[in-house]
Amino acid sequence: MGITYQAVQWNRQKRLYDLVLVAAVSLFVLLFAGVTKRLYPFVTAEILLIRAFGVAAFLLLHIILCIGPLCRLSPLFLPLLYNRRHAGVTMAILALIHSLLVVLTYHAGGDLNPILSVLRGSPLTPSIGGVPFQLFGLVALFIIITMAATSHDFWLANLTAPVWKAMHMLVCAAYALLVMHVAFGVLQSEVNPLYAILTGLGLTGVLSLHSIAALREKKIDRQKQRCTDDTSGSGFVDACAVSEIPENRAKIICLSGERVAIFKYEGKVSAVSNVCQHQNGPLGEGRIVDGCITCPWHGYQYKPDTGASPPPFIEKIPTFNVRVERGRVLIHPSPNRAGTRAEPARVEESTADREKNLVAV
Amino acid sequence: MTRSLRQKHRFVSLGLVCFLPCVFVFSLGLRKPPSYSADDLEIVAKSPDDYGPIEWTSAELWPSTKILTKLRRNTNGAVAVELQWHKFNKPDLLLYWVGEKSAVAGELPPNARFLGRAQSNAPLPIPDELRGITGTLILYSLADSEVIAASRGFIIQKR
Repeated sequence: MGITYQAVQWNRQKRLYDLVLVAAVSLFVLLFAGVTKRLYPFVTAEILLIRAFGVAAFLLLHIILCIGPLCRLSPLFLPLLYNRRHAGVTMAILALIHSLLVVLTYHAGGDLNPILSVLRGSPLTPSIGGVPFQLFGLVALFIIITMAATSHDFWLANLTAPVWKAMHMLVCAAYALLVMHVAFGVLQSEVNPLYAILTGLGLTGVLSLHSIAALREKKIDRQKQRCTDDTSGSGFVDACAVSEIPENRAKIICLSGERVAIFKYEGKVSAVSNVCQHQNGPLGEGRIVDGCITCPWHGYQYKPDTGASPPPFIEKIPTFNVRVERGRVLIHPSPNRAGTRAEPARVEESTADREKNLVAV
Repeated sequence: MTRSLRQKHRFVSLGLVCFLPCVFVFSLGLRKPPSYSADDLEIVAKSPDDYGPIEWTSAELWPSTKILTKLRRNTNGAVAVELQWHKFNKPDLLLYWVGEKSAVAGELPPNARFLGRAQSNAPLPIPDELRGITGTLILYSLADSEVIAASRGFIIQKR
């Protein structure tokens, strides 16, 4: 919930999430350093730290990238999504430490500006065939730091969710650059095949999950569109049967290319846009809590009849005019302006209508 | 998520699926065998005392710099080179070996063999295969990306 841009306040879940995150990262860095020192006793402290923070950042990026598609595939992973931005900021900090250690170790001792030295490449890596792997890392770091700096809800509110989300899809570019940074960097000189195998497995996992989730969403869009193509003479669209909607939950359909969530609650049916105003989360996958539609991603709430957040919050989503006839839910495909009240359809009336119709037949 | 974003995500995902595995496999194809072996690491693992007594000392090996060079050899035949200097104010010094007599200036030759981090009075092992051939020691500053000094050509005798 939020007032202006302070959308999600600190709460117990958020503190717990961050605690687990920091503990896991610290444990990983210590474990990695300990095992590496044990296996390679002559490794220097600088190299050890560079590798530990670099691997931690790269691994955390893989986990972050897997959270999104996993949540599309199963709601069991939604708790991981709740505070994903803090994981992203943590990853940016780890990457920054890694890069600072690299600059201090390899580039800061000479007359040349350290950044220029990074751009010029390292003479220690003649085996990379001229591929500027450090430059890949530098550009990726710039993207990651930019994303971390704009991750706050202040930017989300000011840029609007679609722009913010489109901008944050640059993480895909950063990931591609980092895979190249690793592949043309450390993997060129690392003798132990474990690094190459783990990088390959991580790459396969991330790409497979995103492809599966993307294709699944495309399939859902097509199916839902087919179901709502036919319109009756009144301009209303036959969306679904009332019995298909679970109590206090929604059925998602596709209207005019966008998804609409039809909620059933307290003997009524209301339809709203499926897109949460906060981060475009799927409202139809949430449920009614305390009389409000609650987004499964971050808990933003909206009144089902008006599409407006309860006071003092100001978020609004579009509503749709809805009817129930003969046990079927009919929706007008044109959305009302965000926050406009649309009279909920009574489910009881529809049952009475159906009985009347049956008698007439 | 709105439909346009879903479409963008789909295109980006499929693009990465086509691009990244190719790049990854290509990069693995570029890998070259390491320039050191497990035996080298075992040599490094020994303490300086294991390199035995000084076989010879030379103050004239480095024409442009005052560096005292010592060669140590132990009973097993393992050889180490030890450099000694008073003031040598250059960062991140590395010692390389080039198996030729030719003069080295400016850039590090591509066939330079890395021996280790150069420190005063710290012996660095010489791999077996470098013995019996004429070569040159090179002091290289990693931070400055610059060859600091090159020795005269000399040969480490086999035993």
